[in-house]
Amino acid sequence: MNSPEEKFTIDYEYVVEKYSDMVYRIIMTITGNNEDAKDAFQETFLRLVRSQEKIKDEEHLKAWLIRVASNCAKTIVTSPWNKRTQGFEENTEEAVYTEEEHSLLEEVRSLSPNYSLPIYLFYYEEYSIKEIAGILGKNENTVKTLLSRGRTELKKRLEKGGE
Amino acid sequence: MAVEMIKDIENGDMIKTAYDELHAPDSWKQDVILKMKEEEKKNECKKETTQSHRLIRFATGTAILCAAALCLFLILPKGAPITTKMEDGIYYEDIELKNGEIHFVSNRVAISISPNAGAVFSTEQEAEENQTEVLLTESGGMITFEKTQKSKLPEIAESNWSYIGEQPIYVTVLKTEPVRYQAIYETDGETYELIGEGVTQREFIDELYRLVKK
Repeated sequence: MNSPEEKFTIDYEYVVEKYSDMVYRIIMTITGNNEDAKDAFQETFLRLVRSQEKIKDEEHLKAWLIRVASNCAKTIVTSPWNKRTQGFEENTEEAVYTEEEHSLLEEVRSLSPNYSLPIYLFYYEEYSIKEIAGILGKNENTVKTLLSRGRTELKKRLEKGGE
Repeated sequence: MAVEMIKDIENGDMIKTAYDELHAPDSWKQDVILKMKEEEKKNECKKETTQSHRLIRFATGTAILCAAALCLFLILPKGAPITTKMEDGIYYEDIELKNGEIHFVSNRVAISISPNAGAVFSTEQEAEENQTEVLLTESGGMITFEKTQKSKLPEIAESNWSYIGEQPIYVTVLKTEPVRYQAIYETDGETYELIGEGVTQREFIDELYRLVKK
């Protein structure tokens, strides 16, 4: 994009190409349906255009997108106008899941965003607990607890589902 | 199946694999890029509007200030002096003007106006007794200096005297067009009268000061 000493500028095509999947996954983890996810997806990137002057570097950009995407998704989910009529099964026009993967995604999504987001960031984005704490603005111990509870909850749900 | 998945959750492999299959639709990407570009255009327009509003406000402010400065420049020298307390050492350290007041006209020092302003005292004198000098000033006005042995001083309260050093002086300003200044003082049995017409206050007070200090 540009060298570190230059002012950080954002190339929209590059940002969308590089981070759209991450943003989409975060949003889908929270909303679980394409209708809401699309709104949150667009809102996240439009906010980036409005706030691009605040972005310092690539790392900051990624953390910023994670935080804003999760906030946008949570806002939509908790909105009184929210019409969550679709489940994961209707959003998979381009994804090819095994039954297990689909079931797992459904279960992750059905967790509270407090659990599902740290799980995603830890296992998929491979952020450390310290980094997750920084991104989500939470204490490291809180993140550890959320991850542990999230895993336990996920196990319980999978066990139930597997019976 | 569930048991295997639970095991995989511990090392995150299953989660990773599941999310790997989840991709943002291409149509969303193209759509959002277009919207981002539109949003940027809107932002630029907003910025331009804000800047032009700021420019308009700045220009208006500047115009008001200029108009105010012009008014001060045009009106004040024509006889609407601002009365303020005298500050030592502006032009003459030993001038004490009535009630300690001094008039500033623009950036010039002027003598204060007597309560009897408007009346120029009679200057009827016998020609042979009078000694008159006329001085043309740079501003195109004229200062007439007259020395006579006849007292011209009106009976006025001491508080209305102006002073240059120890010398009491009675000073009036007649607000005619042009403004007419008159200063009368007595020393060693002689009466001195200085009349300035069409002169600046600075010129008048300079000349008065020079004569008293002579």
